[in-house]
Amino acid sequence: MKKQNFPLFLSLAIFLVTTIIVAVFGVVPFPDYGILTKDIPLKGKLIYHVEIQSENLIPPAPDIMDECILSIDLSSNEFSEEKVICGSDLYDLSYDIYFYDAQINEDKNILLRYWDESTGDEMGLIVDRDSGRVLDKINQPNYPRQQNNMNVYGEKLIDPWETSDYNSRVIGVYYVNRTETIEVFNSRAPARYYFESLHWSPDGNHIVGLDSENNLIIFSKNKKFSPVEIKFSKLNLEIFDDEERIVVRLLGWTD
Amino acid sequence: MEKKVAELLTKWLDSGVINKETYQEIVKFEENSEPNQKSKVARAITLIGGLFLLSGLLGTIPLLWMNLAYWAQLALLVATTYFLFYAASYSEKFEDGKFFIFKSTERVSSFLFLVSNISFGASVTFTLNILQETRIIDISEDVSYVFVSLFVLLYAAYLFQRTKLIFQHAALFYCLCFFLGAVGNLIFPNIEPWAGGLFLIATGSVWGVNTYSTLLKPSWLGYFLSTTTISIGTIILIEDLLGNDEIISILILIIGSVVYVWASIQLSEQVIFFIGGLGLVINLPRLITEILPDNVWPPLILFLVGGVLVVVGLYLNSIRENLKANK
Repeated sequence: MKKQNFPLFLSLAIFLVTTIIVAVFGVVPFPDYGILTKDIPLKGKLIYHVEIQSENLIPPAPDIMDECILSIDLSSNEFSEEKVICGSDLYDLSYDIYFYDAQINEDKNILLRYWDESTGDEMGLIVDRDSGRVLDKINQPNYPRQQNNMNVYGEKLIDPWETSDYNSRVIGVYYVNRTETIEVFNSRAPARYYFESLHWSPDGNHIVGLDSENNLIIFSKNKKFSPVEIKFSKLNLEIFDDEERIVVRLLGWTD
Repeated sequence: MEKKVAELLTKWLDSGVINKETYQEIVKFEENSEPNQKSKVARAITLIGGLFLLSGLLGTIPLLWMNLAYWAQLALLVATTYFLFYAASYSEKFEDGKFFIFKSTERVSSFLFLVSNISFGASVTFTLNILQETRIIDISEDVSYVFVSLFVLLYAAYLFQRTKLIFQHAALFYCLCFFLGAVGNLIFPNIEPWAGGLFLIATGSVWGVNTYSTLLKPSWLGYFLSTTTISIGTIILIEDLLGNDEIISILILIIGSVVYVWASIQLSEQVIFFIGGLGLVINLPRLITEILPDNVWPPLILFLVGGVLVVVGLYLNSIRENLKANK
């Protein structure tokens, strides 16, 4: 009887030991952030690109149902999301709007490139960042790509891929001034966690980043406050049950 | 009686290998054991009808699916599951023989039980979805995966206990993996990739232990599932923890492959040998390209791969000899 049960007990022991090892060493929690409140005085608007994706699991999945440029006003009383423009608003013009190439131009409006069927060429739309109105259509929108990693003081943000050590599960945000590299944030994080689209605030004292969990995180350059996550009081885009909302890229922080 | 058998019997009788009495006994036995013509026709009609029914069902469901109400979809799935289970149970009673693409009727019933297992999983998923939609229950997606995988695992365990056939063995293993994955995802949502690899190694080891204890049969399938799962888990673990030390990673994989080869000799199990041999054939050239200059490795790889294949051949032969000796 004892011999018969041995494989069963051995199996349970293997699972038990594995579970203990994984529980102790194999789980790294996400970095801990506070929540952005009105006590932290911030100004300006964050502008970001969102995709509405279907949740169908059958390939080719997921389908992109719509793409939008949205914004959030950090100086308003509530952190509600505002729509700037969506791909579905521009179907009269083109179905090929290159949201992945969207950028904030020198006038702090949004430049959207698209493929114009009538001319057979790439064109550009200048979209007002507040009203979402199309201000102008331009030919050959060959504007240089903005370098958002330098602030008004000439301090340069380091690409998080360069400073984060994913093998040792450490993630960080750093910038360099003329003489040294300064740490803004450093934390243990799961291997699949990362930051992208880091941008300076217009006053050069704060940094905003989009993390791999679709959260917008604000850091204080001088560590005047701990990093905070933006919790939207109201989302602008309504999605269906079988759809998912993905923040793809942060375009910038305008004043 | 089959014509071929009758001819052979006559030949043996004429040549004096069997006497008249034995001949008549065999003929009588064959006539009694064989189903009569009527029952043959009835079974053939039933089988052909069953195939038509199944293909008609599979053809109709996708066309109707989107137009059906939730309850109708669920009813259809439950009916399909029951039909498949019934068909599998019915085909279990057939005398063994080749059928369609299957080597034996045993395989037919095993395959039908497997499809009924998938259909059962779909029914449980749908039931949970309907209960969620109607707000009778309110559970997260992760918890619903645990419930679905648990029910599917229980059904797979029942089918394996009942049939002990290969498809049920494989289904039981993958249902267990699904269940463990669902539970693991619930308890450890931020699990590191190496920890996932460790879980795979543990699952593969457990399967190997229970195959060794003859609880799981056939042994070749148990060892195949075990060794492949351990291999995949080891690769994930090594890639995540030792991704930068390429040579050490390759050396560990080579040592693992050698252990498989050794274990295959001890257990006289060819399938473990194939996995170990494959590991050596893949990893030895990798090691050579890492440590030797570019112009040396092509002939050396040929030499080593050839050497491994020769060793594989010799070992296979020795295993066969061992098996013969054991018999």
